[in-house]
Amino acid sequence: MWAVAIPILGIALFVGIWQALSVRVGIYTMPSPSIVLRHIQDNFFHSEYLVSHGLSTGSGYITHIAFTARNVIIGVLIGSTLGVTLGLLSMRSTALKDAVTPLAATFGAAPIFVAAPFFLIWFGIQPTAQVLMVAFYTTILMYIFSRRAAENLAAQYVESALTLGGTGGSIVRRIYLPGAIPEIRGGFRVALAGAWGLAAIAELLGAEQGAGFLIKFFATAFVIDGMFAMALLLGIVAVLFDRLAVLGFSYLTRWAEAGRRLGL
Amino acid sequence: MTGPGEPTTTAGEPIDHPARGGAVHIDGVSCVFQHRKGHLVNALQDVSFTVEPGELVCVVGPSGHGKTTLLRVIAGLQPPTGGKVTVAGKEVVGPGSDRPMVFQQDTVFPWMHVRDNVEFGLRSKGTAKGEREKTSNRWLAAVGLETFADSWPKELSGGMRKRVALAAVLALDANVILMDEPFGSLDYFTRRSLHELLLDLWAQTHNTIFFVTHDIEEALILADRVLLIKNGQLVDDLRVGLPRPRDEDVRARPEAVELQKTILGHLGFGAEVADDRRIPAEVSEP
Repeated sequence: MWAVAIPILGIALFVGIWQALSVRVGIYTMPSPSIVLRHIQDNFFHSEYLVSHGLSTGSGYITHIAFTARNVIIGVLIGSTLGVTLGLLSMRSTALKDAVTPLAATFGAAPIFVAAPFFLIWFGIQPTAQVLMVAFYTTILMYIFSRRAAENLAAQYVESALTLGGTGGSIVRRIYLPGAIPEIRGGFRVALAGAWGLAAIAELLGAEQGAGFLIKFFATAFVIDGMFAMALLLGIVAVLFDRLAVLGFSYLTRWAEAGRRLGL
Repeated sequence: MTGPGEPTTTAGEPIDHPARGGAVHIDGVSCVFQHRKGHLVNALQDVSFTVEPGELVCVVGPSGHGKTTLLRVIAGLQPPTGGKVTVAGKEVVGPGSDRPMVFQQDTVFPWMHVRDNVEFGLRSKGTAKGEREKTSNRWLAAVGLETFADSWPKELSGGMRKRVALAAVLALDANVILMDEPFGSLDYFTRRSLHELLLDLWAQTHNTIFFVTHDIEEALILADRVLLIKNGQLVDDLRVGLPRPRDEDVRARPEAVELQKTILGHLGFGAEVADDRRIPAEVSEP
């Protein structure tokens, strides 16, 4: 019961504070929750405002959110595949580890936002720049997380697999990967959460559509309720995808829950 | 009629020991480690002996005296700094499915169903699916876990997981099986039932088994032969001439008590007893 009640109470508290602030600050600077919700309702599937400004041929905010979501999903999938593959293979190849780890440490330490202008210069304002930026950031993060996860995996699993006839490829695929997934889960959620912000920032810097692009446009046109609406929509979509990721990882790590259910 | 010392199953039936595979030769094996504080540690010093096919050999000694290192060298997980190990005439240069190992720690892969654990080695060998299933069914039934084939390891008790580990190594039909204190973490009753299971299965498979333990009682229950390791050296090689099954009565016999005293004496607990059961190890004495 509390598991349901506490999140609802948290949301209610947030909406209450937001409402109080909008009364205190004024709705032109901070529109109230009801104004923002009405704005979303009026513009989500079809937006006259966007059509009149040449930003849409008939659709609404959903098209821009979908554009950002597409970039995030493609970027995160590419980055995760690359990062996890490199991270786990580096456990069986010292040369790969020596080649990749210093690069990951260097690029991981530099704020990714610094790299954003370079991506825009190299790849233009098309979705490629956004996708590659997300993929680049995710690759580094997932490399670090998956390597650490594999390092933390008990050595005896690998040794046992070796004495049972396991070899390099099968050990990466059947020992390191499934064994590291519980720790990789945390890294993936961090990467996914960061990717939304990163994609939006890349759109703020230069794009022709997307949630970040619209926020920048609304800021220029001083459409404050539109800015709030896009930020809220982006947040909701990010939470939904995070829930999907949690569900997916729950399936992949169902073996870890098995004993807990029985109290073993 | 079974003579004293001749192996039998736990039901008392004689164990036939047809030779399978070749002998295991440990030839002047040394293993020197560098301690993290810089000094060198002689984990194994010029250890030599030969194990004939189908023998169940227990390696006994105090903790930290080289038993596990010896087993790891035979497994190919630890390269020796001197000497060599040959199995059936082939020098050991790395781990392989001809010498699978049951570890002291729980090494059943928790992310694989019980059946997939048993089939792990077979898949690595490229065995066809139908054959894998047939083999895993056989060994799951042999260890009494046929109804748990689709369970996750975390749904099993510690003793059941050891049975899975045992089934996984037996499924490989290897000539040599290595066991590093496999039942050390289990309670007495589970351990005893696993001893019986191991002996029954060994009676069917005739593998050569290296079984590391620091428990003398366990060695007396299981072993054809006891190798005593102390300070990284093979200090004695004793033939266990007790009839099987070695229940409490057999282990209370004077010859069993003498053997126990001999082992304890060698390990520094009590007087050493001269005994003609000792067979000279093929050791070039240091």
